[in-house]
Amino acid sequence: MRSIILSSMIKALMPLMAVASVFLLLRGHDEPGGGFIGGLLLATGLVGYAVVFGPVAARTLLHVTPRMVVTIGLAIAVISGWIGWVIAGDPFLTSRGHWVTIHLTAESYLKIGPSLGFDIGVYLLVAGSVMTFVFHMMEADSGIEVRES
Amino acid sequence: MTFDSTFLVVAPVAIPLITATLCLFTARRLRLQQLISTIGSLILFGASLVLLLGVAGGEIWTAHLSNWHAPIGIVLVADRLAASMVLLTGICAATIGFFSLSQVAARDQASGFHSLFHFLMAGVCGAFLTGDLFNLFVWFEVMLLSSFVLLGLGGGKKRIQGAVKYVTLNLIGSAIFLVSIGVLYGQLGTLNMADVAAKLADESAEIHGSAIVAVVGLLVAFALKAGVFPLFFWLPASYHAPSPATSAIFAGLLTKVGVYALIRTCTLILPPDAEVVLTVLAWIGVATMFIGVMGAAVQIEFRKVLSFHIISQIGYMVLGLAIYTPLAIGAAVYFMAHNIIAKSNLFLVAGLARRIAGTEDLKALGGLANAKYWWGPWIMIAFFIPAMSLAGLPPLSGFFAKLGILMGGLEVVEQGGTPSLDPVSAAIAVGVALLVGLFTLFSMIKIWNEAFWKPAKQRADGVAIGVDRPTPVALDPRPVPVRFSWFVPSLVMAGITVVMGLFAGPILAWYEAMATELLTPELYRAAVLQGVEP
Repeated sequence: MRSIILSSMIKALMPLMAVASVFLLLRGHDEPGGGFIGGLLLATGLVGYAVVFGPVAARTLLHVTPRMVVTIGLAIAVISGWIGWVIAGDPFLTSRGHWVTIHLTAESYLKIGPSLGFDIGVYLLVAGSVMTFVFHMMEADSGIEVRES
Repeated sequence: MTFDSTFLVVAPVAIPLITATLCLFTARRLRLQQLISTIGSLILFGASLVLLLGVAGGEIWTAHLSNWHAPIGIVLVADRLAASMVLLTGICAATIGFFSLSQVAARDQASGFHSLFHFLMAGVCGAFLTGDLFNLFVWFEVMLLSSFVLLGLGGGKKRIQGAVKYVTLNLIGSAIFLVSIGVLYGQLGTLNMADVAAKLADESAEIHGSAIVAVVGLLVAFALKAGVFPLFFWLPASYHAPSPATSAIFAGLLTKVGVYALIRTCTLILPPDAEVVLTVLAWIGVATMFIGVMGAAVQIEFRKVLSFHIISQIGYMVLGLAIYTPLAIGAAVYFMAHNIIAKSNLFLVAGLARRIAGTEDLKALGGLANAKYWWGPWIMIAFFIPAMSLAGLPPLSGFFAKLGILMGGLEVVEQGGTPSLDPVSAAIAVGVALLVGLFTLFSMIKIWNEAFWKPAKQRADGVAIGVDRPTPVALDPRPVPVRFSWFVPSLVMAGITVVMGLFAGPILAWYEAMATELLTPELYRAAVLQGVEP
């Protein structure tokens, strides 16, 4: 789809959406948001880019294959599930007692712990899966053959 | 790091998840991926064995995930029923995983077969272990999605068609499941199975009728997943399509997860005054047995015959559950164990027959009983033992499984009926079960005669059957000679079938003790809800 309005808009919107998705991810700990919805937003931005500039351009922009994003997300999620067990022998997925609070400014702080790791995993997993199948479908539609293994 | 009971309960879910992740990372290196997959399966088998040995005495182990205690957090529960099902999953993972190395087209293996296989194992183990209804739903979805991709892997019209039918009908089941969960949560405010059971059993509390309807809705959803009459259509429409390793794992485990959920719901959650549900289940079981075996009689494709037999065998298990005595439920679970091993094995043999003879059509097959080639006797042994076990010939496991259920039925007749089953119905059920056994034997003999003893015909590609050069699997361009390692998983499973038959006495007694425990749901509730922190 070649439209100057669309292409200039998506260039501005896509980075914004990516930043907003990280915001949603971090906010998800005790307010609406989280990895799933953040991942969807990230994927939406990149899919929008693919709609305008084509899936090949989107893959180039991404540097890694969407499938690798899925894999890394999964690995992060699984590993963070075991952190509590490795440190203190707690059951799978335990976060209680493993939080580190980083004070950024006087009012704002960031709590880092296993469940944030899990959420980041979900974030990447969701974004990666959506991109995997949307890109594949777009390529099938336009007849581009991309082998991915 | 502590390797306590909590760790062991989580391990059967976590091991396949880790294996699947590692398989995704090594997607580009097939050899390494195969190695990881095999090691992962073996570790899963070992862990499930340790878990079963741990709870074999009747203890109930729990793991409160995230350290949030039940009924708030999700709890994994390993009692004897769950642990024995997990062990069977471990056995299937190890044998079928090994089988898949040589029998799944290399391109399919490279495009994600192994990681999906282990995701499926994680889903199955999770469904067996979870003590939370919503979590059960999630595991069902994990199984559904990975099996969808596994079914469609490799492409082709037949596979995609099978996959779409499978997913559509299973999604309807999931929708019913989800609605029931919603209603149940609205009424009771909890989804922990033990807590739901406690609230439904509490006679002082007033329970709205919709909670009972929701429980029945759960049973309908599980019945669809198990493939009972009249909700079985999706099963024979899809199970013959994918690669033999995939259909073996489906045939062995997926429907049994549905049966397991039925057993769990009926024994734990169903309120004691809802006998009518069990009466209906008994008749559904009888109808399932009969319709399944009749469907099998008219099929002429190897795996389609077997698919209809799955349905018929599910009928036995449902009937055993519906008779609802320790003997019958114990026998139903033993039946399930026997069936997982024997049925998976038959699908493996069907795959081998197709590989060697190039077709699955019983009319075109023939001459597999071929003494001229070294593999002739091996494929015969690999088929004969599970087939005769399925037909219920002593001294194999299927005989004792059927015997246990028939004895359960006759016990009901003798005692003049139970609240859910009057003696006449029980007698009819026993009669039908015997008749179905006869038809099963007929079907197995049909395959035995057609595929093995009939004179060999020309193969589809014009080569005479029996030539020691198998048909190349689709997309696998290099024809390789028949190897002994192809038969090893089948022979191991046949060995398990024989051992289960030889030790049927102690195993059945153990299962009966387990069923007695199941029929005392207070034990399960106490184990899950104990130590609830204020």
